[in-house]
Amino acid sequence: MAETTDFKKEQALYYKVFGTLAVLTVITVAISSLKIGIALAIFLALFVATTKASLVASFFMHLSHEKKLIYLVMSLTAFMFLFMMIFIVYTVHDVPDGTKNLNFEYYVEKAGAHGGTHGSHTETPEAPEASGGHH
Amino acid sequence: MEMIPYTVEARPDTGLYNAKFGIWLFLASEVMLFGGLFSGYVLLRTGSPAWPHGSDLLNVPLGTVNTLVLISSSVSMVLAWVALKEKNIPKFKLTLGLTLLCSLIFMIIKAIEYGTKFSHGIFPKESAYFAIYYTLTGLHALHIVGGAIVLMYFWLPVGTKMWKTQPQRFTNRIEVVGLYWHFVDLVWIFLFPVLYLL
Repeated sequence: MAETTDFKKEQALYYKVFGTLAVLTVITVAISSLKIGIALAIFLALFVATTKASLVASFFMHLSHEKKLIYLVMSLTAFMFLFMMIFIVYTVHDVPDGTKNLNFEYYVEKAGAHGGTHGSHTETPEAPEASGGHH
Repeated sequence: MEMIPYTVEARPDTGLYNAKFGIWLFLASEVMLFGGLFSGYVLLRTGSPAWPHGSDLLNVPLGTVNTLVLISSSVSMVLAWVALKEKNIPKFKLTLGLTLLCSLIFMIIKAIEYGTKFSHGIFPKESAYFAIYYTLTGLHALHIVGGAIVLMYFWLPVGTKMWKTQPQRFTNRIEVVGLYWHFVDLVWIFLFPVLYLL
């Protein structure tokens, strides 16, 4: 905030944060090209993204030194956000009977319809390669 | 004359000028808006028998460039605020101009990505993946456009003229629009790996 009067120092800090963010962006793209399991890939990608987000929030949004009221509001928001995500993960298996099946038939139909006729780098969402994500 | 209270001095009970507290409350609501859509993404993905790998469907190099463009725009945004604290108007015009340029580049790249998909007949109804892809990136792009309009106002003489009469209030305005801009960057930091890399 405005307490800082040494602007040169402040700018140097922002350039450092920028460099770190750029490096982390390259790292996250590099990690994604590795042949690792989907669970590890998700963990690493979210870990890097959270690190980058913390840097932006701490320095660019100067949350590292802010008034108590803003911490209060954002803690409450973080709590609500986490609860929402936990609820979603918790209810993942609460799918009405047959819903998943219907969805599956759609994909099979889609894959069949496009088979062979649709160039090599197909744009259809069949790519089952890492049938990842579902339990 | 002064209609809006606490535009410069801190309100005693909050310790903040009003606009700053206001923008943080707004950002809190934005966390829940994007958070709701992210949870929708999780639900769709875990509920699908198969989910495509983003890199098979989207252009990762373009997405990477756009990530770097948004990060650059955030740096120039915060430098614009520092420039005002230094009372350096030419530097403010330059850095805010760079932020605007970055927002334009981001939108052009996004338009190229969308255009390529549309020309292949790929719309949100294509699949659950593309439905959530267009929803999340579309809402994010609207935030970029909205932010760019406000930044443009502050960059043009009509917005900058406040500097001459109320420099501290103008500096605060730039801080507040900066907080919004960094938040939009922050959302993209999550959108990019989630949609392009996983």
